[in-house]
Amino acid sequence: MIEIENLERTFPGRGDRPPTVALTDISFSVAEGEICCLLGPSGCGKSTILNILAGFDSATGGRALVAGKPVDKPHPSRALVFQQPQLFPWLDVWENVTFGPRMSGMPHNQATERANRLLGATGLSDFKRHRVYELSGGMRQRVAIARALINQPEVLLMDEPFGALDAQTRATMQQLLLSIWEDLKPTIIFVTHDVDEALFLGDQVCVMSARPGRIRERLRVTIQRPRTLEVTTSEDFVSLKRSILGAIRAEVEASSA
Amino acid sequence: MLLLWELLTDGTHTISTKFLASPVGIAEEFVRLLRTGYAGTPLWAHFTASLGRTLTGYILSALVAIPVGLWMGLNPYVRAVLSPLFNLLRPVPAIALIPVMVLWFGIGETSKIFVIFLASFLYVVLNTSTGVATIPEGLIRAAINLGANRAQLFRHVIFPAAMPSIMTGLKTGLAVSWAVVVAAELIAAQKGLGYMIEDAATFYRINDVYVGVILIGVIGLFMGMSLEAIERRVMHWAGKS
Amino acid sequence: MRNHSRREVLQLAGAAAGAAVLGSTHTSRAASMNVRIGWQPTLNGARYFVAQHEGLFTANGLNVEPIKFTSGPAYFSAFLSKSIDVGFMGTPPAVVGIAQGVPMQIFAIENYAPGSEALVVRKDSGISTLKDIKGKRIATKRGTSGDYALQTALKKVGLTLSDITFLDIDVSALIPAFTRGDIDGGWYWEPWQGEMVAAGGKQIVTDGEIGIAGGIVWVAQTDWLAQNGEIVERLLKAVDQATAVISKDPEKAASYIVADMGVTQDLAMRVLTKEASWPTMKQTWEPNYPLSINPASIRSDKGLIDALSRQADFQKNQGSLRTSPDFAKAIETKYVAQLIGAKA
Repeated sequence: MIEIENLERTFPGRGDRPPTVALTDISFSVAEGEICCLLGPSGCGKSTILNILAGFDSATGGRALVAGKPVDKPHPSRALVFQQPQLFPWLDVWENVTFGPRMSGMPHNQATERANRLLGATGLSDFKRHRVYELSGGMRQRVAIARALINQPEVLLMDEPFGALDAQTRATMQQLLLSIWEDLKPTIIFVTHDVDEALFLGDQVCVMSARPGRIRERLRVTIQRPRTLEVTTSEDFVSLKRSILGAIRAEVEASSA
Repeated sequence: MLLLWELLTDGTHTISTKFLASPVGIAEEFVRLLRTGYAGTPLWAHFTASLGRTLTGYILSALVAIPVGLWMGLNPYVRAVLSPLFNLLRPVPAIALIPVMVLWFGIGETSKIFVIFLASFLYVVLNTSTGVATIPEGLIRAAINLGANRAQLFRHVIFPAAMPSIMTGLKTGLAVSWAVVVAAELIAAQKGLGYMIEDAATFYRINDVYVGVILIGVIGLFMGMSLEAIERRVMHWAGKS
Repeated sequence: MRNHSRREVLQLAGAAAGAAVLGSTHTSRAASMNVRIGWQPTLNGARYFVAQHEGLFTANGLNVEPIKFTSGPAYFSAFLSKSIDVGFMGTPPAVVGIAQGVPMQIFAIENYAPGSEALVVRKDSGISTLKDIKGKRIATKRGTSGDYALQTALKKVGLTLSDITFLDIDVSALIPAFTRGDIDGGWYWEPWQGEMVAAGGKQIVTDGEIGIAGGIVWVAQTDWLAQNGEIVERLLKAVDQATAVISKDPEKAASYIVADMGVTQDLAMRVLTKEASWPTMKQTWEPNYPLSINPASIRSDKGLIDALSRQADFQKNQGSLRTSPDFAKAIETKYVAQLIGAKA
């Protein structure tokens, strides 16, 4: 579904500042229906990859293909979920979720049917007419996810969507995401800096390093699905985690040397 | 508080009524003005003259300022040209403009309405422009990502997102309009509450000045409250997080 | 310095210091007294400007703190709150203040201005005599001497206010309105009178020509006036001395006004020599002087008292004032009397 080949993103220098190489030699691919986690510290360019895939930024080298076609303008088929939910505060939950269909002119019944289904899947059926400011952080993110999924995107691009939530809510949201994914099977690219989260969610994890941003290592997560929270203490999980932590430690030592 | 005021002035003469008119004195003068008018014009005529000028100038300013402000907010080049110009004009007191206003628009209603228009316009346009320019980028991106085209983006995202700032501008503009009407009526007005205040000062009719000032204050308050009521209904979501 | 011993130098220094102290105590026995004078930018207050420029106030032992006012009524609150001591204004605001109980009294005459206020009309207005103002748009400012003059003039030619379009216009809007033709004419005082002429207007008739006496008077806060006789005397002396400058060297006097008010030398000269006159304090004591403050004139309702009463009656008829007070109580004549050695 997604092919990234030798992606480069260099930002031009300004004044006497030299150009910044945000991304260099990024190559990976994601199969249809797969969850791929981009794991890395801040500044490693993982959000830049998402922006390029979404169409809000363009690469200065290499290619990004979705469903065999190069990415250009933003489109609902490559839906974004941000760390801040970015819900429209003047609309209620229902109007936020049905925003996309209203823009595309989708027939009313079709939109209603999809909205109801997604609100059910995200546990928001009782909150249709609630105002955004009446919702907790976790609930707002659910609305954001529903809003993104209603357009039935080919790819779901998630940029640290649970980063602003407390640990407990985060765990709930991770399980919720997986249950929705089990049902609808979108292709997901999930950006995070949390090792546990990456391993819990992903089918593959790309470990990135910063300055310049590159992929250090790509891992397959072979843990069986469906996954519940218990797997985070299983042997396979721990050994994968050790392996990633080792890579990160080496990285830290190398950069402070 | 009114009782204390009355006691201090009329009652015990602790404060001479020369310094601070007593509430009863003001009330009596108000009744007298209602009956006999001021300078040959009935009180309600003074009132409607001021109100008419204010509402005309204010509504015109809103009709022009909101589109101009939206344009400025969306287009950085336009903003770069107009914003400094408007910011320069804003602190200029209306009184200083009187000779120019008369030269351009004469001694009739136009010059007065224009002064009010200008004062209000500058607040509405700058608030609108800022309102558009400070919409979080994330909201715009979310909307585009969800498939909104330019026109849809404007109608469904930019305009509602800028609404709180626009409302702030409209509220300030209304207050400013009503405050400026007194200065505007220095331009050869023959009636109006501001005219009445200024004329009464010439003859040291302090109670009349008080009546005028209080009337202006009360009406201003009422108009402000009406606008706030409208705002509350239209923008239930503003200011809440 | 070689040949002077150190002792001699010290002696010289001591003598100089002593002389300086002696000199200052001489004037400081008549020690420089403070007075807060409220002034207006009107040509009719010419002696104030002359006195300032010629240093007459300082020479008479006065330390003046000048405070600017743009109109007579602005003085009322200042007198009420005692934030100024003395000032000058036209007879109309003086009448209003006194009638409304502002604590102020008139204690001297500044000038008599029969010609420095007039009806000026546009050349295309079709007005060549006073009667022609019927049906025309004539402007003045309510409550001023111009208002009184216009309405007196109307009566004189058998017209009423409803026979003209009366427009109440402040001086800040006058000239643009006149230039544009929004008004046919206006009844105003200098420099606006001259400005209208300069803008292509033609003067029809002055206050003096329709028999109205008007002028500028010196007024003071009532309590202050009673308690500061010495300062008042010095003030009157300084102002009186300025009269000579105007009569003997009007060009110089005019140049002071030009410097302070930004009007043209021509206009200043015209006002100083033709349109208005500045009497000596002695002249204002003459019973026949138009604005006489001689107690005999006051008792027989002549002179200043006559001018004030007529103004008050006019304002009362307009409904602007409720009472026409006893102005005799508001005129303090003893200081002028003292200055010229007469009986108050």
